[in-house]
Amino acid sequence: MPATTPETKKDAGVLYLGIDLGTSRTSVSASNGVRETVSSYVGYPKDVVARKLLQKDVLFGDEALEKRLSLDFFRPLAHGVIKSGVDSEKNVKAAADLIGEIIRRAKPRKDELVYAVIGAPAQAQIHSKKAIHDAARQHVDSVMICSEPFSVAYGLDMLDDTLVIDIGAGTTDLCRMHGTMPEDSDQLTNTFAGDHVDETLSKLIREKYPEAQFTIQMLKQIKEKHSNVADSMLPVVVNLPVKGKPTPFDITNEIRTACRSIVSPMVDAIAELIGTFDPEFQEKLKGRVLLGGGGSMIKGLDVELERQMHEKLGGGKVMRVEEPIYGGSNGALKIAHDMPAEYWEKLR
Amino acid sequence: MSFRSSASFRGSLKDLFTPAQIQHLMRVEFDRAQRYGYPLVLLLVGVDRLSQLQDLYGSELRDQVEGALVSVLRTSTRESDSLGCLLDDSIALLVPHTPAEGSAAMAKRILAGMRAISFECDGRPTRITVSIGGAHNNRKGELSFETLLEVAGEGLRVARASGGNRYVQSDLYEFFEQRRAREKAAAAPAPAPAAVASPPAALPGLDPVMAVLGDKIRELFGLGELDREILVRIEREVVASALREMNEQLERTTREHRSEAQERIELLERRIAKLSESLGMTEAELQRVMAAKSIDPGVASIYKTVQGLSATAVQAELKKTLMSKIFEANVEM
Ligand SMILES: Nc1ncnc2c1ncn2[C@@H]1O[C@H](COP(=O)(O)OP(=O)(O)OP(=O)(O)O)[C@@H](O)[C@H]1O
Ligand SMILES: [Mg+2]
Repeated sequence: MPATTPETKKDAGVLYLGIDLGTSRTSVSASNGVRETVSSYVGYPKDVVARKLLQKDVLFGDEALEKRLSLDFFRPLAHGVIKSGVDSEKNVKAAADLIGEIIRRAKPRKDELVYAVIGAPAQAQIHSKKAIHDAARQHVDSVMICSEPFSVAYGLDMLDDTLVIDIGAGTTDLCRMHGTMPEDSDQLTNTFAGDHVDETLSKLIREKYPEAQFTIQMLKQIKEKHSNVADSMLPVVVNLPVKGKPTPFDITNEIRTACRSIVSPMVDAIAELIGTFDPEFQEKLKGRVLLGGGGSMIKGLDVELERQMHEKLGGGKVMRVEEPIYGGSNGALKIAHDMPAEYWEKLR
Repeated sequence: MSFRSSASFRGSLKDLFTPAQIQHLMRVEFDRAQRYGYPLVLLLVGVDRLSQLQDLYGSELRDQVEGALVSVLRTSTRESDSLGCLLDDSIALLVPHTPAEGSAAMAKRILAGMRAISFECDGRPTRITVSIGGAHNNRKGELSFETLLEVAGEGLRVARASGGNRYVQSDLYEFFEQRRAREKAAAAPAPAPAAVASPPAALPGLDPVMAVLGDKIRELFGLGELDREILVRIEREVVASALREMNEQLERTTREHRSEAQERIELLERRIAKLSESLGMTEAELQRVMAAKSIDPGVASIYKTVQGLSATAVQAELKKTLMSKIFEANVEM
């Protein structure tokens, strides 16, 4: 649609935001073209000395991670919902500050209204959605929460007979779309996701090369660079310190095995969602599996998933979201735009 | 033998007296001492570098230190009927029936008592010291309670400035007493304030001037020998006209300042208007160039043209229903 349609006028003075609130990363797509992502970490200086040193009252993302020793450090969105429990009050504040930060990074102008759609995990309980809503409300004029896999599918116009798989850090979320709002029975979640790959990789390397020294953070970076599940892949040789001295290690097989560790649980979950679907449409659903989330960037994952689906389910076709990082926020942004103005106004 | 002060320190829930009440009691005690001619001393005790300590180690430490100080004060003045209260960042301690010489010994006990206590800051033992300023009533001539406080305060300042952990007795009684007298005179300039054009209270800065003016007139006319009534009238009129003149001058300068500021504001407003105008023009130009080169200013993603749901959108009807479902779910929340 060209930029001169009458609908454009409706947008005058309104900034639409699509926000994907994730365990490991929070992203925003804004109608002013800004797209930003920040690791979902929040930290507050522990004491006066730390505050003087850091010269900030609150730190976000990788900066917070880096300075975490002098911070009260939060990862406020365990499993994509605001953590409750011992520190729940502080977590809620950390989540609110994180949402505030991502909104600031979208650079809203002072004179515009800000309307935001936030993607929350599909299985989020109503009270955690409420917590997210309240946290966001402090920073925007109007806000709506919608299910995260739904927003991914909506962004791609794949509203019916599609199986969306969002591979995040903490969880892999599966959701089947069939032309209505997905319900609880349309969704499955397991914890075979990015963090699981990191842990598996760590275990495998420790077994094979006990002398190598590394942290899980180092492995995560290595994984993001070399992740691959293909049978034939270029050898992965990385330098890891041994007693402080960088030493090359071949971890090709370890990478492959670790990345593959999430595939078979994923196929099981797919089988379950397909098996409980209207038999008439099962084939269609099998033929439209959509991979999104940071974990979908594993090379060869679509091919490997298809191969295992063929083995276990007798067929399957897998596509990837073009932009795994912004898939959720782009979809949320699209929902924000498509939402009739009067709905937005009613919620103000 | 009461240390009523303890009740007035911050943090105590059982406050019997407020600091103001205790100060009042001190004043009463002081007046009594002046009337019956018995000696008393006033000590002002302040913890050295208290605000830095608080910044570094938190207000908990501050409370601890103040608590310790109170008990040191209590033991150091055990035999006397002293009164203590918190004054800003120091503790005022009034000890009646104590001669000037006795105050030094008492201060020494307090200093030693504090030095003997070890505080824990971040796990390290730390010594915290105090500074003390003292004043007494053993002197001829005028003396008010305020002067006593000021002399002790001066002593505390000097003690702190020379490194703390010491006792200083200042001797500036006369200085403070005179200054107070001058201030008093300045505060009540005209003999009949009600007759003055505008109440002096509205022009606090002019009061001392008025006092000087009054003296000058008296001098000039040798008023001492004239009829008292005429004097008063002349003085009143001169004072009134001087006041008028000063008022006008004050108004004039304020007006000038105001118009200067107004001018600056207008200038800035014009500048802002200009800038936002050129910003608008730049934005429009940018739009034009983008349109000419058919650049999409929207979100460069799978979903490229973010422009709101149009009737021609794919599955427009379905999307409409979905939107209202999302909306309803959020309304419910
Ligand atoms: N190139 C890559 N190859 C493999 N994994 C990757 C790659 N890039 C990122 N990841 C992994 O993707 C995960 C983060 O994905 P994403 O940002 O979608 O998570 P999230 O939405 O924050 O988490 P969740 O959905 O669990 O709340 C991390 O585990 C990260 O290591
Ligand atoms: Mg996610």
